[in-house]
Amino acid sequence: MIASAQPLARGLRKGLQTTWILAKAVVPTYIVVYFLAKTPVLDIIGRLAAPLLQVIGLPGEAALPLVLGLVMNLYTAIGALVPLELGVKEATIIAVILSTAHNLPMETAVTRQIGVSAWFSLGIRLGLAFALALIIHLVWKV
Amino acid sequence: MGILGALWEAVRGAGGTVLSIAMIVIPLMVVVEYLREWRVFDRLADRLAPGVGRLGLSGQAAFPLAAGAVLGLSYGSGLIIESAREGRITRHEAYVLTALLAPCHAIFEDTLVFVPLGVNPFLLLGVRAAGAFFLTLALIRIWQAIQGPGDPGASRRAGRTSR
Repeated sequence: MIASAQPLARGLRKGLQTTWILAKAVVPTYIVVYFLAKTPVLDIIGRLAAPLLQVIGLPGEAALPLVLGLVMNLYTAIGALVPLELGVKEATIIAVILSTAHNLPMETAVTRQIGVSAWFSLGIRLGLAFALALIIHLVWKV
Repeated sequence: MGILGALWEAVRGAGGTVLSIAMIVIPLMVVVEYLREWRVFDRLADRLAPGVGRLGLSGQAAFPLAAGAVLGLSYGSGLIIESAREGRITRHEAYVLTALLAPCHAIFEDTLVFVPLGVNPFLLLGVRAAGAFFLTLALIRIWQAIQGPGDPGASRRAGRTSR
């Protein structure tokens, strides 16, 4: 099979487009969270969310990237996640939750187009994300 | 550290994050374009067809499943909507496909973006894919218990796809 150059050009263009889209999400979020981390704001949000997140082995400050990922997209969440400098176990738990459930308003609208109820797709994604996070937290002994 | 120093630190950190994601996303998009050019998804679907039968899916459902798993939910959903409109997949199959794809799609992109955080990509994808698979199996059991005996996918199992 001869490798044509067209897919290469298409792939590069799409890759650059995606990088540009994610840069627009990552850069502002990263900078805001970087400075927020130096103020008491993140601490307050963290302390409010801590009891809930403790169940799945996450510190309270993980609330912000989780909410950003669930409502917006993975890149925004990662922009907020990197400046927090969490451990590998915590990062893995967040990665499992967010790769399973992210961008929910938009993606649920997409699955509704298939004719599947919004409660069904929201329920299985949030339920599975929580269950998998709990399993990893309980199984993974640091 | 003054405000300018902090701002520089923040911008550098953000730029570094974008760069590390770009180094994953750009090669990935090139690979996916070649996979599409060489019709790998069609062949993957043919391979998947016998296996998806166990999930109550017909061979017709294998193509949107393979494409959605690799390319993403919007792409997979587009194919599912198209197949459903043309009557190639049933309502039950649409639910089974959503149970698989809603939690587990764009498996390369969604996995690799977490690598810069120190996450093991095999562990991440393994947990996510196994979770979606066993959840779907459990849902099928529940649907069968509600609807009584009989395989909902059986009636459409006859025609195999050769897309």
